[in-house]
Amino acid sequence: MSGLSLAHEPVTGISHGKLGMWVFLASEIMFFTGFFGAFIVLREANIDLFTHSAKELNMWLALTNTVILIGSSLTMALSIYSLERGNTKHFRLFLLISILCGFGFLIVKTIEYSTKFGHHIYPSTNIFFAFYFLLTGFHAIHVIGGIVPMMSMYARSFTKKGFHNVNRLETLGLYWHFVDLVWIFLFPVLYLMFPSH
Amino acid sequence: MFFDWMKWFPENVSTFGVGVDALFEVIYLLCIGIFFLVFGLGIYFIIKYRFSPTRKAYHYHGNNLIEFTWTLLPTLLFAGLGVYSDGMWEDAKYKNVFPKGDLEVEVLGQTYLWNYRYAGADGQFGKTDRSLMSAANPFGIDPNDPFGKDDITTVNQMHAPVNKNIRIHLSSVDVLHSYFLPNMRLKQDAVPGSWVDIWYNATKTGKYELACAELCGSGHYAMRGEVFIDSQTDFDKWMDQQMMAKMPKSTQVANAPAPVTPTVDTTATTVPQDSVAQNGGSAR
Amino acid sequence: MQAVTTVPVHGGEEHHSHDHAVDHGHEHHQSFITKYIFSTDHKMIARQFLFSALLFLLIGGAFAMFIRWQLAFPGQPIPVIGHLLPDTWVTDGAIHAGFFTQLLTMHGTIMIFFAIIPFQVGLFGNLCIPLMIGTDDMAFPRLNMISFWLTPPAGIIVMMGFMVDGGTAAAGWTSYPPLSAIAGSGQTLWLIAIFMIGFSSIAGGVNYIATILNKRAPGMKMFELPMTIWAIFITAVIIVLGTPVLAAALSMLFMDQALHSSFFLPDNLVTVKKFAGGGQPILWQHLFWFYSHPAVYIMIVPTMGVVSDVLATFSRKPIYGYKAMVFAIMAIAFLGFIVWGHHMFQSGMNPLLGTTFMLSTIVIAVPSSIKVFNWLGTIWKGNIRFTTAMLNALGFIGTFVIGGLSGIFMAAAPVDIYIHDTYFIVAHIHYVLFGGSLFGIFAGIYYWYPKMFGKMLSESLGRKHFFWTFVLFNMTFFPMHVLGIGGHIRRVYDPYVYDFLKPFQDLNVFISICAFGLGLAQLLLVINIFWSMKYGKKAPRNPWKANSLEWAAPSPPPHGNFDRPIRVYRGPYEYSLPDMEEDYLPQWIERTADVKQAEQSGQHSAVSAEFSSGGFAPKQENKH
Ligand code: HEA
Ligand code: HEA
Ligand code: CUA
Ligand SMILES: [Cu+2]
Repeated sequence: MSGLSLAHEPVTGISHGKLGMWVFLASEIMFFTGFFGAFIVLREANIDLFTHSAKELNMWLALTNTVILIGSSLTMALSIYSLERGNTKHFRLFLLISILCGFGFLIVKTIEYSTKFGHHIYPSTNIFFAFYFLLTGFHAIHVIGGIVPMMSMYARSFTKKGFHNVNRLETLGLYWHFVDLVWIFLFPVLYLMFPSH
Repeated sequence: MFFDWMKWFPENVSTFGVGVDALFEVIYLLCIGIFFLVFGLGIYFIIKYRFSPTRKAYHYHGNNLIEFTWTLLPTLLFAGLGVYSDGMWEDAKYKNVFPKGDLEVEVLGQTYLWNYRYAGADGQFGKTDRSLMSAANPFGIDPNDPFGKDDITTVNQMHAPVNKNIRIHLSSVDVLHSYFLPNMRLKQDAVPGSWVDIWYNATKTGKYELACAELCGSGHYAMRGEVFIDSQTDFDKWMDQQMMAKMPKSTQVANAPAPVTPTVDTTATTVPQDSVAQNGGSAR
Repeated sequence: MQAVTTVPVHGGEEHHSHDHAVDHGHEHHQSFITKYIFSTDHKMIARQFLFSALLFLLIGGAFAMFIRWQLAFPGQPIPVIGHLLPDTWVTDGAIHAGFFTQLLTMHGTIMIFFAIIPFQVGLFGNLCIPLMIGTDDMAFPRLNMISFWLTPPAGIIVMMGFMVDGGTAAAGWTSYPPLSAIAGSGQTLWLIAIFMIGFSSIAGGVNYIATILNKRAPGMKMFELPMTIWAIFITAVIIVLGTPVLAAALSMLFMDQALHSSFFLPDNLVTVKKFAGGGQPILWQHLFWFYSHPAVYIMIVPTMGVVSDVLATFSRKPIYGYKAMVFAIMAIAFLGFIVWGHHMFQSGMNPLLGTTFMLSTIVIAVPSSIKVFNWLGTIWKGNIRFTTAMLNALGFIGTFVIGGLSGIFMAAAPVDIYIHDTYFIVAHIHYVLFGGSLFGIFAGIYYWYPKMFGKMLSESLGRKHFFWTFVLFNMTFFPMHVLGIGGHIRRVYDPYVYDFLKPFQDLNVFISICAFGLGLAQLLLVINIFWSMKYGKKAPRNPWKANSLEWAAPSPPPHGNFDRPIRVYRGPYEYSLPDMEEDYLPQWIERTADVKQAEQSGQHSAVSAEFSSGGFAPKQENKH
């Protein structure tokens, strides 16, 4: 026996990081479920207000953002694929695109928010806009929470040691896909739920 | 032997209160039984099986049949309890189950007092509008509605006839309150923005205290009201007086005097107790 | 090697645990800061949680003393310190009504979020998991450190409320809007602090689940985990699924309170603050109790595990119905998520829901009764040693049963009409939270202190502490049932404005006097903890002759925990095997081999000697 090892291999066969991430995502799902639950109840009670206010949102900006986020999910997957194959160049490229998409999303969001503020629309305006700011705000925080580790990995790939930790990138990928998924729920719920006429 | 808990209850004077007290007693007896079972066994084991260096504990991992039995027995017991309780619950709170009101009263909680509204001479409540609600006109009675002109409003004092079904529509103008009549075994939160219906039927005349049971601010403790259960004749007399008082100045409801700025923490005009709160004194 | 690449989060710790776990000497390489403050060692974090929770217990308890003073002697100046308090709190030393509501809010908040949950989750989770599953540390040591270091700032933030204009949060620990939404900046601080605590809980929960699933010692099956670990595991699941809903609710209330949105505020509220309206006050209650009912199980389930282990150890018997116990906890956790409405019977929600919640609540008593009967089964035919830990565990069962039974009264919705928001509830709270959780916590502290600090707690002081706490606890809180039956509403500053409550003043005085004694009795615990750290008897590895893995490690365990490789051969409850002379058979001992080992060489003599010394040898060979 060479040395005493008590840091056992992962018993489940899933790395700690990924297992932890799955558990954390379960938690995140409950977090947004809380919001969506409240949304459903209050929408039911204020149906006119909600459909009326939803029209004021800029669907096209949101659609752009949807495309951006889905794109970044794709490039994230590609960058994992490249890192697995040891293709550092492509890994960097796709990761960079994901990061830029993240920033692009935030910029569009900023534009959206500032036009809202320009029209004197705040959380206090009415309950629909309160939900709008609440949901998109928390989503944006999640986007930032994804960009930061991505940037750190990107930066590290330029150091002497480089970045080769596929598992960690995959774990981050899980998170990033989740953020994408939340948006795919948010988008129709906020922007598209009003009578078409 | 073990003392009689029922004697600590304030006197019950409502019809369904009898059921509530009975249910309490049933659960109480049940719990006493379980209590003596568990504690009896526990204490017996503790004494019988206390440490002895010469004895060895029994190596035993348990028995599924026993496990199953003591799961099933409580389940049955509790299922019975649930069914028994539910009838009473429906009777107390289900709108479509409980009786129609012989007298209908609207009650509005407001920090820190209780507003009442009776329909008045015409037996019809006047129209109300939530946007007219203010500290001075808590019900938001529409001044242009003729039915509203004779509505009788009182503060902290309620009169009701004995042996009649009293139906209360309950709400609040600002924060949550809770309408608690200990003697009627009645409690219901008053929720701003929605109306809840409750009822009781008091079987004994007298003066009873009303408490606010939901924390509503620093004056919560002093949000006290009084309910007078009168004989029918006394009640009619009281009602007549109120109507008389109403007649000459019936228009006053709408342009009520001196609209106090409605604030939550300083309803000093209406709450004498609040001054008590300020100097930390007791009301005694 | 491999672990470094596949388990990156663990990377930083590799060089400690992998290579030098036996080498105690390397510990002095750590600076004071990394060793005692920003430590990633689970044992140090457990100690940090212990001390911070203890501090908050004292603060919360001190608030209770003020509350009790006011209820017994309303409007009279607090002796000694009354005149030292600022004018915004007291007049001539007598508490203001507003300050009283702040005190009771803070009492509940501090006790629940800053004392009991950190004890249950932070202390037991961190202390027990790695040791009892035989590993070196948590799966995410740094996350663990963050989880602790969110607590003190949150505590400071919530206490800062006392300094701001308008005082601290005063809407009860349940913070029902609209009252909380129209409150001042003290409430904002409260919301932020609880959000942080929630985050800390979730971080802990994720960590515990990953650790228990992934880092068990070789050979350890899930159904060979000690009850404590099962309980913490299931608690972690509750935390991970429940707490985010609280976080969501807190965010919404924060928006209402600070940014004037109106999730919980209906149209045309007559209040100083103006809101657009359209919201529903009851929605908050649904979201809050969706978390907070499971949270009351977060506050009891870990100690249920602890008590099970303590009972088995000191009865020298296997836990009765191990699997039934595990399934009962699972059932409690599951049912815990569908009973939240029992806090809202009188809230004005649809009474039809009242019926369903009443039924589910009554059902939840069934798994609890399984636990109680199995505990009785465990001590049955045992050979019971009354150590302080055992006394507290027995005290736990007694008080938990009383508290649970009072829960049945409230679960019956018609009875709850009357006793809701009375002192009957307050009695229930304290029977389950003080009588239940806190006695369990005491049991755990007395049981594992030797492992934590390498010293034995003083048993004689411990017994005194138990005796006085148990007696005074019951004298303080049992009469509260009577108050509740008498209609004594809770959260009242001066009950005696009501005629029907005037006769209860004598009882209130009695309760308060007992409460002061109860508060003083807690000083015995504090003294014991600090005195024993310095002067206590040195603790052997396995002072209680127990079976689970933590007792294989030195006391206190070094960085990396174990000085021998750990392999698990059986469940943790093989006490008093009939074919053995010793009355216990630890999980890490291989029955035939270890005797030989002891004879052969000094390689693992430290461990083996301990067991062979007591005549540890199987009477007959056993085929395993
Ligand atoms: C550790 C904390 C804890 C625990 C474990 C419990 C356990 C239970 N609680 Fe409690 N509860 C609280 C903490 C806790 N509670 C708090 C803090 C509040 C107040 C919140 C506030 O408003 O501030 C509260 C409030 C509360 C209410 C709301 C009252 C109201 O506001 O009107 C209700 C109502 O149903 C309730 C019920 C129960 C029930 C049925 C259990 C059950 O789990 C109990 C089950 C246990 C037993 C039943 C005993 C053991 C069983 C046996 C001995 C066998 C019995 C055998 C047979 C019957 C055959 N609780
Ligand atoms: C684990 C949780 C816990 C614990 C341990 C306690 C402990 C105590 N509680 Fe607590 N209590 C709650 C949780 C808890 N409480 C909750 C959740 C509420 C509801 C809040 C709400 O309504 O929002 C509540 C409410 C509550 C009320 C009702 C307030 C009201 O509704 O108006 C009262 C009143 O008597 C009370 C009293 C006490 C007392 C006397 C103790 C004692 O056991 C305290 C013992 C003391 C210590 C443990 C610390 C040691 C003290 C010192 C070292 C100081 C010594 C000084 C002197 C003797 C002067 N509590
Ligand atoms: Cu109104 Cu309390
Ligand atoms: Cu509950």
